[in-house]
Amino acid sequence: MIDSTVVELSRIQFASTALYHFLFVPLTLGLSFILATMETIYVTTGKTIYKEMAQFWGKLFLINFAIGVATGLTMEFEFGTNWSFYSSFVGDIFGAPLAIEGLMAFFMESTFVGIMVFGWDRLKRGQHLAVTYLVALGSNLSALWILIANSFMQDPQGARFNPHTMRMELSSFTDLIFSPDAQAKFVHTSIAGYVTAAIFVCGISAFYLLRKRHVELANRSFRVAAVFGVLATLGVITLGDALGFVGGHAQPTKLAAMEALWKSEKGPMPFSVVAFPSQKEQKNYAEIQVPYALSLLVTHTLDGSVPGADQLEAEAAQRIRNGIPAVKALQALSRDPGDQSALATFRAHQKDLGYGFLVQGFQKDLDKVTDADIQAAARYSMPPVWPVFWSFRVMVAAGFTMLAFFVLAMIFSLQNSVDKRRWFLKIALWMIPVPFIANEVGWLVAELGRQPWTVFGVLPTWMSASTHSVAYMVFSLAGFVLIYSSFIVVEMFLMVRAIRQGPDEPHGPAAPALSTSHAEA
Amino acid sequence: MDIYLTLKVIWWLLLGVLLIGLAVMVGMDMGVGTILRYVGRNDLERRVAMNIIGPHWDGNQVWFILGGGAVFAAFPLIYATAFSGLYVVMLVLLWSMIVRPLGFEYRSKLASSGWRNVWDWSLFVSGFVPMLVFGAAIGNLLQGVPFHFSWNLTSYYTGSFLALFNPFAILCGLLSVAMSVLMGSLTLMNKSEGAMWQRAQRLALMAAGLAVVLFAIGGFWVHALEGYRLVGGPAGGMAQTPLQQTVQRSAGAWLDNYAVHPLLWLVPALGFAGMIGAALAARAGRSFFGWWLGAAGWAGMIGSVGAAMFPFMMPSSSNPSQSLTLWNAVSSQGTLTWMLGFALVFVPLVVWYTSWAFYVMRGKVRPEQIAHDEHAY
Amino acid sequence: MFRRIIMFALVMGLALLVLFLAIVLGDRAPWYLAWVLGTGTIVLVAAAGGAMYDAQQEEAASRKSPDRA
Repeated sequence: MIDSTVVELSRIQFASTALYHFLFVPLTLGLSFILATMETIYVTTGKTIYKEMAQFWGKLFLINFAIGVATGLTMEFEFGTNWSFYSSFVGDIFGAPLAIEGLMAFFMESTFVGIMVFGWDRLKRGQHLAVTYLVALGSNLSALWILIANSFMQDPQGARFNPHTMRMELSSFTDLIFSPDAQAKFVHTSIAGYVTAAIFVCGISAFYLLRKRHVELANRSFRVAAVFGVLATLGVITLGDALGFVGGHAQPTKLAAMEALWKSEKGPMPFSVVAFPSQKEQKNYAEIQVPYALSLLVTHTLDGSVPGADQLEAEAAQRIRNGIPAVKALQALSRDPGDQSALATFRAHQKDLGYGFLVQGFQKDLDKVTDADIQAAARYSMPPVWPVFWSFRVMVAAGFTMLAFFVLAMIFSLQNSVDKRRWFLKIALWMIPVPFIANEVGWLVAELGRQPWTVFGVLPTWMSASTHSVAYMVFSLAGFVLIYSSFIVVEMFLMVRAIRQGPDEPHGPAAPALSTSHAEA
Repeated sequence: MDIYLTLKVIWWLLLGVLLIGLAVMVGMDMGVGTILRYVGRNDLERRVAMNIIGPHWDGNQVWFILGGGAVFAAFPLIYATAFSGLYVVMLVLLWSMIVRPLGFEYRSKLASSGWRNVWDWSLFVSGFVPMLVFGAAIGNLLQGVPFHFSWNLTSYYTGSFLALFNPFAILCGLLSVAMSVLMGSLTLMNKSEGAMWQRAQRLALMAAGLAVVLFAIGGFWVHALEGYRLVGGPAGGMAQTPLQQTVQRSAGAWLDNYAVHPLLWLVPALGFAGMIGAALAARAGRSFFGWWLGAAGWAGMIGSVGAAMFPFMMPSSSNPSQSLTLWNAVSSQGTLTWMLGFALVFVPLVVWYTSWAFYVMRGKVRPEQIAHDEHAY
Repeated sequence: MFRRIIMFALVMGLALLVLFLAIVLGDRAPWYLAWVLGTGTIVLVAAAGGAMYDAQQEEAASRKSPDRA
């Protein structure tokens, strides 16, 4: 039995290092494609200002990229160091996408990023453009494989438990990579990265326009990012809806938590815009509801219904009762792999194995499990409602705010009037934190909403952690806090400094570079 | 069954290839980090050294990430047991490594010499410490690590953190540092001129000499070391857990494989030949040739460890019968097959574009270029 | 001439590969296909938006200059 303090500390450490890593990743995903867009204009039109743009934003890209790579290393380690049972239990499936990520995507991204930085004078224009596209493609393919792995935790497709090796094993690779959750989640996350980068570029361009510095570069960057951002935000919202639809079916408990649904009712169901959920009393305070909206959003019909916590709890209790014999049979099989009757019992109950594990968090000895234990475990099968409910609402609100912003930004930029609207430029500057907040709360919805499981319905979180002492965990947490705090200070300092300095060769409005016969710089 | 057995062995070999790739590619960059302050006497010289590996360190580092990913995917029990058991060591490795990307990207962003000194030292730490830990980890694997499993394969590590820094492990760690310094010096010789070239040459000779001596001592030490011998359990091609076998410990058991197949002695011989050859090539000023010989030296070293331990991967010193072998720690047949497919397509592709990247950045790195290049580190 | 034939064959091969991928992805992985098409569209439209900025500037400049002349 793992000390519950250790489990909690492991969760805090994983969540904070992942959230920290995820501050930098979306900007990499999006900015790489914006760099490629700018360089495309340079190569097709030959205007050198677009090369300067690509190089200037490329400099900011690299400051961000370095810390993204560094903190990504932590993630690669942490499954093994802190979630060792998880790693051995599902490594057969979960490890594969991580390894393929390295082989197919990260190698590409990292090898070409060096050439992208150092190769400006050594490559032909078209070659360098191809390299930039490969960096963008590589970073997004990285995200693809990581999110395929993540989707396995949300909706374990393509795997089955093997009692001979005591672990989950791959049954269908194509089911794993084409799982609807993986698809929707990848596209949603990747495009959220595009939105993040578009806001970032708009905001910093607005900073220059407010100061009347680098106006030529800032106006063009603002235009590219505004158009980029409008389309990307539409994509994120569409995919967010798709993800809710897919996820709602795969993880009804997450959906119930997102919507704070305590009681099951018949459709049409109202959507709670605001509510103050109480997990203890299993009810909401001060709800503001929109009729029909939930049925429409989640089932894409007007009168569909969604199960609430009460129904899900009853189902969980049923599955726990069914799962207990599976765990007992597995114990017998561990003692004697040839035990045929245990194998038959196991086969009959194996679909609820995870629920059998779940109740062991309340009573280690399965022969002594009481009804009260089962009830407690069933109630525990709901994720914490209020953080999921509110994270979700903050994310959605941020999404629509950014959509409104980008629509205006595009209109003003197409009119070439954006630099005259100082109020809007100020808003653009203040928009910079919004996508970052949206990304972080989006992670919280996805991963807190998955609790109490690491692999939904298969492996409880409390079982997954490594068997460390509290002292080890305090040591590692302290180390991470120390290192990561100094990292962010240095990163922010350099980023702000690079932004204040601006592009290396300031382009006066009097000198628009139009030479098409551009030689190597 | 036979297919599964073959796949297991193929993945064991592929893991060896990955470890060699990691040691050579990441090792050379870390070696440059370790010797940065010696070969570069002033800021401009240090920047030359950094820019020599500048375009490639990021791609090279992926070997390390891929190594971790491949162990996770192909040997999940090893990944789980080793990373959690060696918790503090792994964190020290991680923390020293994550400073490196920032060291490269951030060092030359400010002109302040205090700032640059801090990053220089952080590059030293993030070059020296990971290579020390890498070698020490292999040293500990050879001795066995105290861990055991519960009925459902939850692993429990029962040793202390300090026990991992025993004399044999430190010997292996220093050997690995020496090899990385050798490779780093040869890389600098390839792409630098003048005083730095001469300093790198001197270091290459010293590092190669040290590596030969340490490798020889290590070889004799293994004779006396308690090795592990698999005496019973399910056949190699069977799906199995580490709870079903019997293992004995006895001194010198790591040489069993060499006794049965004397041809295996060629592997450590390759290690010695590579190191000595690299030193001779460095002395003759043929550093490019020397680099490949050094890589062969790494291959021989890692290969000799693999040949000695086969089929063991992570023996348990406290409960030898629960030792992890390539038979019981490996992934399922389906996973191994799919991963092999991806490896067959993408490894050649990676080798091809990595070579292209080195080709694009060919030629010596000169101080005057760096002083004028705004993209340089 | 020979180079052109090779280029033609290469581009044709690429087009066939894209068609094949579109059919396979469209069937099993509609969202992945949407990502490929969507990203391509976003990049191209944004690039066109940037190029349009220059066209607008030049047009404004040419409208101004005859007045002054």
